[in-house]
Amino acid sequence: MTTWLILFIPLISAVLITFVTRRQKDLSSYISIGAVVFCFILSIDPILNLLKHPHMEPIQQSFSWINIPGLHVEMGTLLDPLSILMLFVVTFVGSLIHIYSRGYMHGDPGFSRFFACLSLFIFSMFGIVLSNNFIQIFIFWELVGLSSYLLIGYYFEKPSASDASKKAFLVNRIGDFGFILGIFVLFQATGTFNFIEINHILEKGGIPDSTLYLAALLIFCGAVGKSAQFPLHVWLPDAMEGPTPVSALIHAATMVAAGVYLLARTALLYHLSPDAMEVVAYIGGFTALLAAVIAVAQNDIKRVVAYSTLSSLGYMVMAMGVGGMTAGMFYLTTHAFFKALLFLAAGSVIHAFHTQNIWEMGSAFKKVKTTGATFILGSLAMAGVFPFSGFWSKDEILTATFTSHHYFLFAIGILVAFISAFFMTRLVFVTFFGNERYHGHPHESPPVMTVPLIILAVFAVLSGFAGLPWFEPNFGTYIAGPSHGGHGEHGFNFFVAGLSTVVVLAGIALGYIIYCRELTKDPLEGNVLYKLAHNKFYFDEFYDNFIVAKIYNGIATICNFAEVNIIIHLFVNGFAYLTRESGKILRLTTTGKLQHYTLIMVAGVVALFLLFGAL
Amino acid sequence: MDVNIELFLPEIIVTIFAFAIMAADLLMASGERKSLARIGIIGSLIAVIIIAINSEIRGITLFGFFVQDSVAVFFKVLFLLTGMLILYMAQEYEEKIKQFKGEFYMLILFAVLAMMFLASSNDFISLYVSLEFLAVTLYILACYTKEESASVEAGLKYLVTGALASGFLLYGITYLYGATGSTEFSQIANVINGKDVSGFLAIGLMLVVIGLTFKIASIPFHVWAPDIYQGAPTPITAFLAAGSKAAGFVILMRVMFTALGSIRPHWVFFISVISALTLLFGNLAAMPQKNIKRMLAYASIGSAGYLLMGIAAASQLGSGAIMFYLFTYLFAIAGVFLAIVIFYNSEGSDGIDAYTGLSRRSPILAATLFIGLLSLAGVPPLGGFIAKLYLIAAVVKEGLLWLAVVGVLMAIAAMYYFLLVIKRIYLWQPKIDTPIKVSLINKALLYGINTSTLVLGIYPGPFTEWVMRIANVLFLK
Repeated sequence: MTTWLILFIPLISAVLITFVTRRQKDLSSYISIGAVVFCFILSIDPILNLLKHPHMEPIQQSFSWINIPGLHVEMGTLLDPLSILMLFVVTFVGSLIHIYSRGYMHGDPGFSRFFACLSLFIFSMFGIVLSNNFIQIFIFWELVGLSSYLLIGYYFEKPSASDASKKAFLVNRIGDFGFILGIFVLFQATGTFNFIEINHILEKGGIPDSTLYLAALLIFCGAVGKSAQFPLHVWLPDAMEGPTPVSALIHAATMVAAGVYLLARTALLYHLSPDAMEVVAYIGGFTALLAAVIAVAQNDIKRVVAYSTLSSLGYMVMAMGVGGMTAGMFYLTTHAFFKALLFLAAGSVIHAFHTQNIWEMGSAFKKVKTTGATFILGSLAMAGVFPFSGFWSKDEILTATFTSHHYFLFAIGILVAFISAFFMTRLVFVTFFGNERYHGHPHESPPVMTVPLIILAVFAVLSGFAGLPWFEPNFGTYIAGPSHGGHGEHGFNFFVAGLSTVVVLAGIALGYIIYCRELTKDPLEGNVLYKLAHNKFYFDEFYDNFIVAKIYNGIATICNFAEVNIIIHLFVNGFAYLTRESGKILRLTTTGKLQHYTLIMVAGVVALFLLFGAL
Repeated sequence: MDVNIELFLPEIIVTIFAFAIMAADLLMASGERKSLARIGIIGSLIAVIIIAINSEIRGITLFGFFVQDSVAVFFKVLFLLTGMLILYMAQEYEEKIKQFKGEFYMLILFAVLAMMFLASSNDFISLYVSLEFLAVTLYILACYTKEESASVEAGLKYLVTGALASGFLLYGITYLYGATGSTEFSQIANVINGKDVSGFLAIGLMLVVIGLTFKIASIPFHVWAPDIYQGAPTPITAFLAAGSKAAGFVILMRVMFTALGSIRPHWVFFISVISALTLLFGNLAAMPQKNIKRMLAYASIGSAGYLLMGIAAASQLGSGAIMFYLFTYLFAIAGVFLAIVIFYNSEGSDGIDAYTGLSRRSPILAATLFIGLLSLAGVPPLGGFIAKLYLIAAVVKEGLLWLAVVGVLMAIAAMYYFLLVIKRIYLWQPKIDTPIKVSLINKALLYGINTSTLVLGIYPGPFTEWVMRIANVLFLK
């Protein structure tokens, strides 16, 4: 019952705000905040229950939605450690972001609409987290796509925002197409949509490897879209056109994590298809590296954080690919805290300075002390400095990569750790220290914004201790992938930890040397690599000029030809012709004369008898 | 054989209430008779409650003429529900009726009674008698507004074409009797099981099916529908669309599945062709129509084509889908026609032109037409979508892919002509923008009907299970 309540409260809030309280801005925001906070309170009980019983049986509550011979679709909720963890992340981070939004969006003309969309988004996200079957998760998957479209395009009067929202939606659709195909492949093989039933059938075996491989890859397409992995990563940076709380909520803590969650949910499928896992791991590793390099050369505070998010998502996907589900989910959790913190703190800086360009700030720390302090804490976590949360979770991913003998990916991981430390240092020094480059009189944000920052900062610093390898129970006791045999382990390897600490410190040191001085523009600007990275390796240009211009337009030409000749000329005009003619014939038949009617009836009988010759 | 009164208690109740309306009409002073509609609604409600209480009572009585099983129960509830909605609609329409207002309600209730007997008919004799009982009441109702020539003309055309169809049906029944020596469905099934299909049996089968196509308004006996739908009083048009069609399908299901089920391979193609032709005719001819009632007449011919897909499938899924479709169809038709009655009372026109810009004049009427028409067209997440999905799934499962293709294409055609109306209602500017008054109780009813359509589309699970369980009865041997 509670789970259904959690699922539907945000929907009720969205409907209520849209139809009833739209005019009362304050009331609308209180309804939306109240809804998500209430959901958080409701989810405390399952969390405590989980803490008491680490090896809980999954609790399913479902009813059949469509049940006809040959097809059974249910709607239901599933509470297991994985969904409870996600529920905690979404409700907790979501609550803080909702509260923060009240300050950040203050005075915006679309205030109520913003909160209605937030509630709709939270509803969709809960739907993904609590689903017990593929059809339902797909429906909510699309709903998340829709609500993120609404939120990214919140400032729809700005062409760049409406373009970005369209881009996000369309790019996601590409991944979703693969996802739904994967669902059908899996349904063909197993005859059910239910996660637990599918796992039982998979455990029994008997499904050909090629089918599993195909299903795993197609379902991964969905994760590639939502979690913005290469080659569908292009939508996430543009999505920064949305208001900053939106970036924090959906592009750091929740929506983009859905792809990783999906991989965790279907972990058994991937476990049985090692080839597919390799693909997942390398896509993840490549995305992590690519995004980290691009992040170095960005000048927009939100874009730097956005690319760091891309890079982190690549890290998580890589963890899933090497079988480190515990590590991946642990990183997802800590990342939700520190990345939401970074986005919200960035929003607070933007709020104060009215610009997003870090070269127009400088020495900001003096003006916005709380924001600056929390941002620095978040950066340390992101960079993975001991003993912040990012250190423990990143270390686990590296250990998982190392112990599964993926040495190439391990090297990439180390390199990414180095670059991440470097660009976070750059971001902090250019924004908060050095010479003053700003105009006007920036001032600290109100408490409604800074208090959520402080709470998140506490979690960004401390949440790593949940995964300490030396104590039981720890994070891995609850969340374990199939390769661990039901018991997740937090491996700790002094070589890995030592190496990562060294490279992180090296990255920070390098950043310090280059950026901790009086600067007006980036000293690396002349560099070729910098230019490439600054232009995001020309992915957008490649997509626009090659994929869109050549391939897509080629397809469009064919479609256009088909549309004009087949659809318009044959079907539309043909239909119109047919209609006109049938209309004429009708005018002949529906003369209104009864004699004609009876004649038609009898003629019809005769025609049928002639056609079927008494069967 | 004993006569088991328990089995047809609901029918007795309805009969008593029909006579009560007549008696009350005599006792009342001249003037309005809206209270009589309420008597009829209460009677129907009591009958539904009795059916619900006695829902477990099953059996055959009246010398094998009358069967009470779960199929009969389902359709009786459907007919009583239809009757209540039509009675309500009729009292909204009462001002248009100049003479014999009381008898109008009585005849509607008698028509419901006839449909209930049809749902329980277990023998060609009782089928035929109930069918004629229904036909006679509908002939009168179709020409009830005697002052309007269109209505009188409609009634007369309905009578003549109906008599012709009835002749074919009766002729077919005699052939079947000649071939099998029985008129009872289960005995016919026993006799023909394993026999060759030829001669009398085949002719009889074809004639019976053709005769029944009159009730459901499908090819080749569809010609009456446009004129009668347009000319008849609007509540009666709705009654013909939702009630009479459903009655036609319950007897088609009994005849084709119970009596002639064992020779399905011989008639499946015959029914499929009729279904496809009906789909094509109804949906294509609906496109150029200018009058909303006339357009709905063609759309209703198209619906008969969809429902025949379920007969062609001859499976549990197909029959369950028919029942699901008829239920969603009832809500869509009731909503749309109630809106048409309210609109007509205010504006005095049924022309599609007159509906221009309706959304600005009455949001609730516009929304009702929006939901009702899109449900008829089969758009998710409305009930009509699920119903069409089931029907198409049913024929695909039986390997009739070509029929499914026709069904899908014609669903697109249906989208076209319904969207034309909706475009007019929502996107065009009204010529006059005085609001149309909708009374509170009408609003509540429209909300209820629209919600039902939505609920059937969003959460079809329990209702699907119910109809599929009932459908299973038809195929138990």
